[in-house]
Amino acid sequence: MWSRKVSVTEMTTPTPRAVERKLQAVRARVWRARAVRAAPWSAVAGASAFSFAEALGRTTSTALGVGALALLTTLTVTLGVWRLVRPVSQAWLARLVETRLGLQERLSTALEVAPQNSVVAAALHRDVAARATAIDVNVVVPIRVPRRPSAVFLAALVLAVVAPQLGGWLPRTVPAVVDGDVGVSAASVRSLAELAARAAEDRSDPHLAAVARALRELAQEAESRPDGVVTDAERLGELLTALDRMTANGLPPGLRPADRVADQHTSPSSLSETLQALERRLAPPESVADDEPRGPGLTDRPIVGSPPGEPSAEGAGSTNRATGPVDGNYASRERLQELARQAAAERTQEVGAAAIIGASEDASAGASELAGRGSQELFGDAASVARPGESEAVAVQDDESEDGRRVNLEVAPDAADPITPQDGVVVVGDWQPTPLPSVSASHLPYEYRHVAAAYFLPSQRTVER
Amino acid sequence: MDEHRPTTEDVATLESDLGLLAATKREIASVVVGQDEAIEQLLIALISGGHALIEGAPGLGKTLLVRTLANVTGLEYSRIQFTPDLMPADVTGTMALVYEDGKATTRFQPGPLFAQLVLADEINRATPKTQAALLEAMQEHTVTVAGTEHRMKEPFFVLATQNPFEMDGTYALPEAQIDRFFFKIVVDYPSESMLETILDQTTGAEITTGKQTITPQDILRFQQRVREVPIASHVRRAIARFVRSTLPSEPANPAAVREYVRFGISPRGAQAVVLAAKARALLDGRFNVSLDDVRFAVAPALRHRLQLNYRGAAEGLNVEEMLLELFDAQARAAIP
Repeated sequence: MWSRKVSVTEMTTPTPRAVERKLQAVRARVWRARAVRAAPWSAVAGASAFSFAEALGRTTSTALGVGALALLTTLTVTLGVWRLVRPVSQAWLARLVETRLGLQERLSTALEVAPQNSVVAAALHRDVAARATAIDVNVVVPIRVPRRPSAVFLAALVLAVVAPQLGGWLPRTVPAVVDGDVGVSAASVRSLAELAARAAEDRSDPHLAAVARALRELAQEAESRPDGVVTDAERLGELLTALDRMTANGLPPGLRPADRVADQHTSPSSLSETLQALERRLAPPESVADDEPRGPGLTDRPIVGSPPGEPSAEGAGSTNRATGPVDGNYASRERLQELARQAAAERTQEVGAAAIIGASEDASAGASELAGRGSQELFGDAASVARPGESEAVAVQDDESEDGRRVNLEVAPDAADPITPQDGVVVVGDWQPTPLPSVSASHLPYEYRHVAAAYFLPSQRTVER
Repeated sequence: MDEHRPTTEDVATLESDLGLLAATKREIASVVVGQDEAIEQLLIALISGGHALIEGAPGLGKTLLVRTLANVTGLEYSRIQFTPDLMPADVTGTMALVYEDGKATTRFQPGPLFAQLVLADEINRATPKTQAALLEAMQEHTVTVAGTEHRMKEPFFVLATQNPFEMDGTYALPEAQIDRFFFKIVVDYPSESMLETILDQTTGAEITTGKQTITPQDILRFQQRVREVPIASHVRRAIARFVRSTLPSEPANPAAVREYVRFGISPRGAQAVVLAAKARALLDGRFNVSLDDVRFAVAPALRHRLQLNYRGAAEGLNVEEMLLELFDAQARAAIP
């Protein structure tokens, strides 16, 4: 076997190659094992991020993206930190192999000593070359999924599945509601500010007053600009959101600032529509009775109202009579029906926040099922009662049915009906159902809401939906 | 340069040398039964070129071990029984007045030290002056008598024995001298089964004395090979850190070291550990030093070098255990 004299370089040529190949395989295996060990924690991070995004109201695809990003980031960062703390050098790999396989420092020594140095070094390289082929990387670096992180991973997975079902367990943020590039004139903001100020004064609401002041300041700031346009879209958005909350239940979805942001400003309604809606909601009731233009279908003459000179029949709520004008100041049935037809012909709008419509406390509303029950929150739990002396034009009843929540409408008794004074109380005819069929709550004709809001909203407390 | 490069024949010779070493170990073990560790340590000291101090109770086979070693290695063997009245000249030799051709002249008469394997039996019974006579020979492999330096025949190997129990009338070896011993080999009592074998072998009609397996030239070659054995940097670093951890003056060292150790391990002690580990690797059929080799070498190479202070001695601390504990701490740190 050793009959030929062979230089040691020739003799040991395979040694470094064989060892290096094995060490490369071990290196790859080490990183794979590290990735496997880091994977459950990364998955935990990903699942947590997904749950958090879901809880914040992000869409599922966005939440999935956030989760995937968190997973990859955690994995990368973990492996990066690992690399810094425990760098995988060739010497480290050699020591790992010889420790696991009981090679007694053969590899690491061979890596440091050239075979040409001495006979012993040459013999060592030969020995190592022979042993390198028998190195099993699977034995050196077994890949195991750590048990504890797996439990955490499962817990996070459960959380990710359950969290969206819990709904609202985290406070949802209301992002900016106005695009930065939406220019609003100072005049419109000032107008809204004045309305808000008046409403605040009427209601003695200091919070609303603060919003009004802030709007004024914003308008003032815009007026000082040459173009007279509000540029601080974020602040305007915050103020509109606040205004929306304080005067809730008036704005239909699509007009509410937060909704507009949520649907990425794809809502057909514009910012100016939002402002107008807020203005309408803040406008005092008498403004409707004035000669100011109102919504379509509205008459210049008040549809409803207490008869002039007639005291309202306080305390008569128990009677099945409606307080009403003796001079026929009610809208005629034809008129109301015409309104209803017009409303039906209109494109129905999304009116998620219900108008507050109902019979007054002292109403004796004939056959109205809502008589004496006051105004009802259509979608809320709280009920507020109209002040005595106010009359009703429309009564609304809602009920749950198989196909969702539906609304029935009743109109006030026709003024042309016989009026029989009885103990000082004017008894009018029964309330009549509208010609409209029962409609979905979210598709209540806007005009009915408008009517109700115009006449009753200022006298009633509203509750945020 | 190329002609100095090792060839396959050189490697074959080396492998054959390892075979010889293994055969030597087996041959000694066939005579001295139940003392495998002591035999291995003795061989390590021999091929490392160091001297050994053998300690053990009387009757454990210390002298037999040395005599058998002389038989299997073919070394010139000499035994000096140290006694309190032994003089240095009795060890080194002296200038004797001789008559040659009718003329009186002086000639150096070599003492029993002039051998290749010297057994200094019960070395602690001689006076320090006589003990010191061994110093130059052990360190320099030379003896100077009457101003003339006499070189020892290589390989030169001193094995000293001492009885740890009989302390009356003895002179404990001073630190400077005890440091010259490469190894301190402790010969322990054999196990029951080993004792049976000893009784069987030594009380029968045929008594084995061991056959020669290697030559003095082989030993010299082994000594050269031992120094060629490579040692990995992390093993070397572990040894250095371990040796530093035995110093009582280092504030970062363990409390036991700072409290109970008088002198830590010197660089010479560290050299002994490395050389012994290299020798052990060859004896084990390997071509590199492992952490196990170092651990094996720690006790025999350092047990006589680490000096406890009075408190340590009073507490009855086990030096070997302390050394191994300190080394294990460093060895663990070297493992990924």
